[in-house]
Amino acid sequence: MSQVKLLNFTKKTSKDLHFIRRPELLFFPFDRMISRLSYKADLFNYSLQSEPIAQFTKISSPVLSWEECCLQRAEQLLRLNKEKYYLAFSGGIDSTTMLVSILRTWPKADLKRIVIYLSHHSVEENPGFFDRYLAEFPLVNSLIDVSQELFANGSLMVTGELGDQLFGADILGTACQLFGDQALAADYREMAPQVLDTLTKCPGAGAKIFAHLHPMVEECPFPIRTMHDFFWWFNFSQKWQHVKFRFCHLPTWDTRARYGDCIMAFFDTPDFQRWSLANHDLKIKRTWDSYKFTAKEFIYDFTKDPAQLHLKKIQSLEKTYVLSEMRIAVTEDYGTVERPEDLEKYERFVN
Amino acid sequence: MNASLIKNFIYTDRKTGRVVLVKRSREFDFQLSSGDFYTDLVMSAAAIPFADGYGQKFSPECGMIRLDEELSDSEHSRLDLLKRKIEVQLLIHTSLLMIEKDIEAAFSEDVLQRAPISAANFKIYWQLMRDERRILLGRVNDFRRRLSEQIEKLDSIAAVNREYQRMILNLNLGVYSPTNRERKGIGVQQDHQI
Repeated sequence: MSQVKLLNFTKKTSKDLHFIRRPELLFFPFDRMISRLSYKADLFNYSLQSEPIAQFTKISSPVLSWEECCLQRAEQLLRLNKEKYYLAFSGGIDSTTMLVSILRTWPKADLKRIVIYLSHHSVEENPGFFDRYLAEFPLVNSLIDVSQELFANGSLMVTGELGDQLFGADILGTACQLFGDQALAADYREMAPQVLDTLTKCPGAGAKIFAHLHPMVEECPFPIRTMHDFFWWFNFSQKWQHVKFRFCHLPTWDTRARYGDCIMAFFDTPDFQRWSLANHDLKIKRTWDSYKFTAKEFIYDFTKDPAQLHLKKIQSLEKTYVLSEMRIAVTEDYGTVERPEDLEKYERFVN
Repeated sequence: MNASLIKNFIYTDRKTGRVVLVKRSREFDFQLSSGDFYTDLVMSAAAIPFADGYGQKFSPECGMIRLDEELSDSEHSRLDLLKRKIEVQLLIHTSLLMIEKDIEAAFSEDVLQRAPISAANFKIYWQLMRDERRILLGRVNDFRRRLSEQIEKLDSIAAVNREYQRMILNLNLGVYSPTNRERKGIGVQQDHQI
């Protein structure tokens, strides 16, 4: 086994990794799980650079409200005292939450440090917010790589990543499209394998993936019963690190621009994670449209714009990738894996 | 241009003058070239007949002309490789054309003018959109140029196939298109109301 471990697996697809001994896991996103539990479902050996979930159960201080988490995070970012903050705005619920938090807490003079990093999709998704709050800031198109500038100038990019992991998972949106909103409250043991079959487009794969994932439910602090419970727990416990470190998946990203120094996810705090563990009832109601309702209400309270209560959950990232080849993987020392066959030495299931 | 006409793109080996492949389209431009081959474009009401096997040459005056002279094994193999290179370029080129079409549609004046942005900020929005369109189209053009160079230097069909597989498996070729408003459900309702 290699001494150095992986930080993240970022290749677009794992289907051509013929050496993998557990081919049933070669489906996105199950090929890039990095467990924060005792039970490890990971395909590769990773260096865990995110909090083990067990550590949150040992903290006795009160759990903050959503609003308190947001406002404290915004203040904490300001205390880093960076000269320039690139705020990545996708137009979605998570990045709008981030911006509302900052607009509510930062003094006017400090708002001058802000650059909005966005694309035309961001505006299309949330034109009202762009028009009313963002158009006055310096704007940089998110198709432009700024990693070298972040590194050279000591600027910080803040993204809306990890919001999904706090609330649920995109897979639930697919499940609702397939089976209706009742899928959210359905017994996960019956429905999850069906949904996984559909996602993988491979009959029978769902049952295998489900069997591989299932032991993770034992470590949830409350009983997992529904599809929402199950896929939120999967996203929260297995995908956190992948999402946290996927900022460097494009080969154009300068790997000297590292997490914590040059880039951070707004929702990457212990307080947000404790909120997620303690407030399962505040993530979604009975319909997919209600997903992230707590965050939407937080935005509405600031904007008083009813449209903010009906923001759609839309994946935000793919345009940036058009005609880009993805990095295969990044190691814990921010080295890059250049060839798919070089991944073999990081494989976990060697027997 | 008459939309009912078929565009026949005829790819000919420069060295032997033999037609390697014909691609037909009513919409897109598949004009390619390299040091090894060139393309003739013929517009016609019916598809120009083409027989596989490198037994034809094309003349603008006479059309396809059958050749009786056999090719040597080595020449045949060289044309097999050339044909595969053109096929792969056409496959990727098709994705690029669709991406370009998608970009043009998303940044059309009609779409941009309907954006619910106030008059005070519209100029800022318009500039952002213009820059993004330029960046995206530049990215497509750069990619197209590199693709041709990359494929041209490969020396076996196996190498071409490997490169194609690599691109399919780790390159974002527009399966998720850059500006797919329909997939995201953006503007769909408004369009239906109009």
